[in-house]
Amino acid sequence: MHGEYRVALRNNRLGLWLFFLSESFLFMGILVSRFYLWGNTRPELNQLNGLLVTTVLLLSSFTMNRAETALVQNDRKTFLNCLLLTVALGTLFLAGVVVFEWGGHIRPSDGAYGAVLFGMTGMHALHVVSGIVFILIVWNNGRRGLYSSEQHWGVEACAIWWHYVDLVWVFFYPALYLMGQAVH
Amino acid sequence: MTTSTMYALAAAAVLILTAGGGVGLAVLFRLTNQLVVGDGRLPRVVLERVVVPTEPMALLRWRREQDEERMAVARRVAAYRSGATVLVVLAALTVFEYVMNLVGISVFGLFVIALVKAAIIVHYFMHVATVFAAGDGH
Amino acid sequence: MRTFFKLGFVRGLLGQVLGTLFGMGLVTGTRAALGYDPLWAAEPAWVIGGLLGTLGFMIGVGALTDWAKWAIGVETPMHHGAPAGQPEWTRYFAVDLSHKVIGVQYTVWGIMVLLVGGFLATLFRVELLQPGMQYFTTDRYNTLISAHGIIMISAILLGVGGMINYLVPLMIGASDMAFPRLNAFGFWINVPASLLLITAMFVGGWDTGWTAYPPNSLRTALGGPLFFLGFYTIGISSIVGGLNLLVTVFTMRPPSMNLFRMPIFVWAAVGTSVLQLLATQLVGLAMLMLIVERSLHMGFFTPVLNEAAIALNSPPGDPVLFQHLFWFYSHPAVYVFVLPGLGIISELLPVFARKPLFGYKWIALSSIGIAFLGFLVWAHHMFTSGMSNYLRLPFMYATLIIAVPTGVKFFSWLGTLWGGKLTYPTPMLFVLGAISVFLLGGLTGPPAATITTDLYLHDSYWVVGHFHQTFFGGFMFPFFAAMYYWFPKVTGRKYNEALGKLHFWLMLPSFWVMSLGQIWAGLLGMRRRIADYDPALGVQNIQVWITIAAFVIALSILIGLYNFIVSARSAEVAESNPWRSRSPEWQIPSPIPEHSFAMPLAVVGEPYDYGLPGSVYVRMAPAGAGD
Repeated sequence: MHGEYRVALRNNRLGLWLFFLSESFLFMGILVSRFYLWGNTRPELNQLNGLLVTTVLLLSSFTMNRAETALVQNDRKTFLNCLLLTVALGTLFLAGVVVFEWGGHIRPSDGAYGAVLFGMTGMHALHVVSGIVFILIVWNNGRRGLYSSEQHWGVEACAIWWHYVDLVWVFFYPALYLMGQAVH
Repeated sequence: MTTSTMYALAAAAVLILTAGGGVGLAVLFRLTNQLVVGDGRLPRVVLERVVVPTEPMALLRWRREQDEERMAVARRVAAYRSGATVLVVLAALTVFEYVMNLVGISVFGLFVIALVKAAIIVHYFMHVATVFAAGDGH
Repeated sequence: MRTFFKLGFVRGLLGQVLGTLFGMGLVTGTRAALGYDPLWAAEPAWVIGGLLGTLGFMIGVGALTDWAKWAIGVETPMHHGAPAGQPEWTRYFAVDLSHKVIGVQYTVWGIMVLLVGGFLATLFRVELLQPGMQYFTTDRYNTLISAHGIIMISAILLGVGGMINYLVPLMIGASDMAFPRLNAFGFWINVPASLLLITAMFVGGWDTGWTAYPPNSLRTALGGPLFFLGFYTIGISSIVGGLNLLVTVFTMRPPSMNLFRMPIFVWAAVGTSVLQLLATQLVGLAMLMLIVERSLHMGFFTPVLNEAAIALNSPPGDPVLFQHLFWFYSHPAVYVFVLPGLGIISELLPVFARKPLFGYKWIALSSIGIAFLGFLVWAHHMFTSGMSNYLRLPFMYATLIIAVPTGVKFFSWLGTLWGGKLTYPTPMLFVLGAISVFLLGGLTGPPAATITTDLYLHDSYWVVGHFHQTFFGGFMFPFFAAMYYWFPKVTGRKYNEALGKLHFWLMLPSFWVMSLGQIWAGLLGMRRRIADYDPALGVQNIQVWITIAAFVIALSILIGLYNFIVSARSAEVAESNPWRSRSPEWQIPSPIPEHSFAMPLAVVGEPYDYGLPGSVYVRMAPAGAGD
């Protein structure tokens, strides 16, 4: 790996992590709004749906990690397949959010429950969409052989961005489905 | 529905979902000719076909080569396996947090579990340590 | 004419117009497809139009081109200098990746936005000359003060961006910022944002002040959502700018420059950038919540429930939540504005006192301390908001503690001045003026931070006087000091010293009159953001003085700009280090060549050992010999 790429890689990593830090303040602000408005209560949501979408996102994180590992191991077929699997699982997650969480009995205009539920899932879904687009770009470039097992900042950035989206859900899932008393 | 029924149902649901998803993925990988450890199955060294050198220095070199090859394969298998292990641990923690919530756990407790999950993701999936390394790839 | 249409700026404007029209068409078309009546809904059309217009500008100007190429796997090598076949000046009107060009772009656009904001101030100052309404309706007046607030804030952020982008890479001997394309993006996104803010004034205006408190901001005219969108867009620039600077400072210093041997301005820039990177997200969130509450009726801030919400047993929204989210950024924003200015003061004083900077480490750490404490004091803006009473005391104490790191800076400045061989060219005058004005701000702050007195001072002209003192002392005066000080470095020419001194001697006394007048009017009971006042208050004379002073300030700034423009074109050529500074940027030719440092920089001594014989800060070494 030559020097210029190394310097750029170091800058890119630090920059992306600083961006994660910045985004964490955004998501913390959303969580704070949830606790400020909902307090120790939550709306009644279908628990099975929550577990389903959480599991799908978790599996997608696994396939993403596997794609990156495969590239490092120079296993291009697994790399590309796992990227597509991740896209499929991410889309499934989005479908789950739209069908189960947005299609339920709560509307965005229904007081603080509606506003925060749609605010949290909406902002997260927006990040999922950005992740899917990112993966498709990386898949396309990977298909054309633009990444090597040594030089693949694009893949690495895409992977940790996707894991970051999963990380946010790790906090949003309990905040939406578990914390506080369900109100009927 | 009583709490205990919900408890059992939920635990079953998560286990089935994760295991089902895992098996589904394994089948997919199989279809694309890859086991859970990727294409890196540990090769068995077929001793009959190998001519082991007799000269001492050559023997030493041969053994080192053999070891390096095995090590490389082992590292490769470990890299794939660690992803799978993290998946299982995260799924288990999700079951744990759900079940603990049914049993009765404080918001603080749920936060602690989420923080543990987050730490695992940040360390194993996001390789946070690379930020502090002097930019030397993998 | 061909050149004109090739300019990125012109293409960007075209893109913004097209994007806005496209967004409006999209909304109207969707409404038509879904069978809504009427087809034209102004608010969603303007919001989506504003959003796509911003995107259109960024595409048109070319700030996204390189990233789009990366996405399809095309390499884009760094380009230095003007685009092929174009004259040099076109660089300043298009996406250019050099931090020196971007720094000038930030500064010039900032000054233009500053002129707009100042012009608005002179308009409503005229209205305040007498009781009763003479020139404006109350709605128009409210729009003017609201726009003055946010436009000035965006001007200050641009000025801060200009100083940081131009100076920091030079001061740490880096070739450029860590992410040049992100840097250009961060500047250019300000242009559509400024245009959104100005458009907002003409599509009905808004009457919330720059703070946009709900529920008023949920009901205000159509200017409201455009203002939220503009504010949000400025926030994006802050976030990427802060990120870029932090990476630059952490990774691009020469190995021999450890943290405590950086020029002091770099420390201030780091403090500012941390605040920009982290706190800005919260105000972006607050603005986004206002937009969706207005257009999708998501009740974050409305304490009224509809029937479906009552059936769900949902808790209501809460307007105080907005204030928490808003001030979590907007208080630290004050430190975003003033920290670079205070850094300029610390940077320039030792040069003009020919003495080491007193307590370098303490000043450096006080910038970080202010940045850190800045996160913990936001609710002192909310003592009268109806938030929980138990929150008041901790926020009061945290606020008063900020006086400690600020005091550290003050005493260090005094220590630097003490026994120095002072000279008084224009930059030094502005630095001393800044110290005097910031002192006023420092003295009028604690009464507003103390709960008992704040209950009376809140929303009065006292507060107006106080924050104008902190912004002028912390930004305006240091900004002009920096403009005069680095003018020879940027343009390679000398500014007119007599005009510079005239600028200063008009601006300083008139600012004192203006802000002390505001303080006085506040004590007499004049409330802020009010178009009219009772003659019986006895503040009319004060208002006249404030208005005259405001006009003199405006005049002095125009004189300053005249000086800059004329001197940049035709003045005498300046030597490369007229101030005998030790800082790296003064050791290279003026104006600075495309590749700033011909040889790597090596730090061999302390940065501010002025007057110590034989001491050296940096040395330009041939490659390899530096470390």
